[in-house]
Amino acid sequence: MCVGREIILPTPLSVFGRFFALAKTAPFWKATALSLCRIMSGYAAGVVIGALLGAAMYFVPPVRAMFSPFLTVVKSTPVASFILIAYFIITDTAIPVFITFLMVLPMMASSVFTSLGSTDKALLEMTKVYKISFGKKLKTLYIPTVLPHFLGQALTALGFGWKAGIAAEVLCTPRNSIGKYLYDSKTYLETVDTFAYTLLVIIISLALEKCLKKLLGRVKGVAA
Amino acid sequence: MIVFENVTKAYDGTVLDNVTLNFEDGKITALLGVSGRGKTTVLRLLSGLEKADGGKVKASGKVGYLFQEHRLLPSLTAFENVRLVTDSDEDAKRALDLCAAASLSDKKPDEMSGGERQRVALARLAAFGGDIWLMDEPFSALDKDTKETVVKNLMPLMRAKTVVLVTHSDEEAAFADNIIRL
Repeated sequence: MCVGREIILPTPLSVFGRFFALAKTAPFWKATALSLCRIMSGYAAGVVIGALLGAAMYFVPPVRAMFSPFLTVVKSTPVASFILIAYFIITDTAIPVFITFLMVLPMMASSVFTSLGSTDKALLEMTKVYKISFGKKLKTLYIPTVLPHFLGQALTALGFGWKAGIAAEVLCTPRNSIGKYLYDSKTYLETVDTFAYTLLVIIISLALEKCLKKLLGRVKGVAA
Repeated sequence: MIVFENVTKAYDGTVLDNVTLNFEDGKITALLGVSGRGKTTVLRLLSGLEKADGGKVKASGKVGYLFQEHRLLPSLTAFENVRLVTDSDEDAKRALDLCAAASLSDKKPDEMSGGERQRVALARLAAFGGDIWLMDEPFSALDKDTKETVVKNLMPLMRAKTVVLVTHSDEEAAFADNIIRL
């Protein structure tokens, strides 16, 4: 009953039509590029710093004692709360970067910390007896142990990070962002636009996942 | 030099109770006994992997340990596993040759049989060198012919060290200068 009434639930045809019409405009691409830049830089920072933090938590017990409560708080706090808090502290264009970073960081840190903890104890004993240096141990034992978990988690974190980043854009409406266009379309009851931008978010999410899978496949190949 | 005096060690139950063992320098000593008598515990204490609950344990010098299981790094080839404990490619190749494992150089542990993995683990020990060798059932997974070749090749190296060899087999204990029954 609702389908076909463009203001409530537009037809797939009109959504695709609007999507392709928007794709012919410069602001659409500018918003896409800037949203991607913001969210992916937050994601990259979250992956790198999360991995380093996870490793530091494993190898340096005081770091673990210091950051474990922080990670628990971050993991259990609703993303919307963080977005609203960040809104008072940092600029609207930096919020999606920060929020994505904040969502990805604990996922990657936990993954690295847990998988380092699962390193084969018998092999660790062997490296101790044969006095194998930390560098060699890292390359031949720790990294091969962590890598499969790390790559899988990086893929999961990408989806989470992307969605959190878009949510942050919707709530903070930085200029030239997918989130702002989504928010505006809701405000002006342009439901077709809402669906068209949602379609864009889904397409980018799938494309990112595919690209990362390919990249991770290469990394796995090199590491094997 | 090895000191092992009045050693006590317990896990869930007592494994070693005030045990004193005499390991002669430069000799091969076989530790014989049925499972659960603490033979492997003696090696773990000597290697420093475990601390004694009481008594005195000391192994002076560079200690190499052949574990009961191969403990090869799964991501590395046989050559890389051996190369890990030595500074030169030549030493690694020579050690693999000694242990009849040269043909396994490019294979990873999951591509080898149990006997092949044991030969590579022996090669790693040979490449590591050291003054004291702790060997936990070193030849148990080898077939008769391979065992003969490997023992023949390794014996000159073993004779130049203090070796503690854990075994269930009287045949393997026959290589030893001294036998201790636990």
